[in-house]
Amino acid sequence: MFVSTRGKGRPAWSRDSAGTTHLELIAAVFVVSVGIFGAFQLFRFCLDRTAAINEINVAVRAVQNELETLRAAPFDQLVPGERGFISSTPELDRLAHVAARVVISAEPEHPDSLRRVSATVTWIGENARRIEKSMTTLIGERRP
Amino acid sequence: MKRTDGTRGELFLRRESRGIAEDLGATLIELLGYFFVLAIIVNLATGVFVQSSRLSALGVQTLESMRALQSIQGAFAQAVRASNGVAAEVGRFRSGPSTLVLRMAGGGADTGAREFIVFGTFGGERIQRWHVRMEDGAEHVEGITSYPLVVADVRFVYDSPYPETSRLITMQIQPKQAALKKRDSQPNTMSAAPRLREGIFP
Repeated sequence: MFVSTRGKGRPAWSRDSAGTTHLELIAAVFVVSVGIFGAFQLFRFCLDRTAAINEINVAVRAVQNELETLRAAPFDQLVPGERGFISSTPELDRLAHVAARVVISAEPEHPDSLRRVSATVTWIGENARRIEKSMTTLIGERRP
Repeated sequence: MKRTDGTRGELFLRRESRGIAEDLGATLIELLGYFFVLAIIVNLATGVFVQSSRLSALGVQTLESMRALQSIQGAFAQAVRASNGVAAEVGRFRSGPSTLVLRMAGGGADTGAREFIVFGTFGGERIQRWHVRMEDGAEHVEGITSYPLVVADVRFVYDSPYPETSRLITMQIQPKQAALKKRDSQPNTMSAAPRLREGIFP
């Protein structure tokens, strides 16, 4: 038996469920937008990560090049103190606000024949974060 | 319309039934609207998919290139550190800007055999590492390793005018991928110093 007769010859349940409301539309658009923006965020994240890995590789290579250069240098050139890199790693220019320094110190047990050498590269990475890569090695005087 | 008696009630039911039937399904305009919205969503999704695929390919390519560079750097540094220094030439190989010949420590001291490691592209597009053994004036190739990085240019730089007296060897690699895209124009530089040099250090 029919009870409701609201509207023009159309039952209430049928009229109420036809089409979509504004709220439903906005919700659907919101969900789609969240998905699309999420995908774009993912792109950006992947690109940033790849760039960061590349930057770290370059920095580590520069540090290794510097240590190798110092290892090849005559021992009397390893004067204790702090200074810039003497090696050439041109790709280091790809890093933003890059600073490279070497700290040489004499080892207390063998001050005349052993040096502790630390090479450090610092730069500004993603999100203006300061990143530092450093390596330390011992270099001894080569004796015949 | 109010139902007052049986006859009018039947009429009402028929009309109501027709009204429900009219509400079912979709009009042409509604269908067109649905298709339009669907087309936009499919277009966006396809764009996102294509961009994802490109990004994934770019990421894989970049990472493989970095891994290959690390592999070359590792092999180069290991060979140079284990060597006695640079040899001017061995067999058909001569040290210079495009080729590096390393005189390796050890070898067959009792048999007079000497071992060498040679790096270069030898006219190809990939860096190769040749393990050469010289015995009784004859050249024996013990092994060849080719690294999975296509390069546009490879250059060896020595810290001395004569390669055989150099104490620091630098390899500069320009990957072909970067050279083609004209980005990362600076070559990848890797240096190494022989640890076992004989008689040249002061």
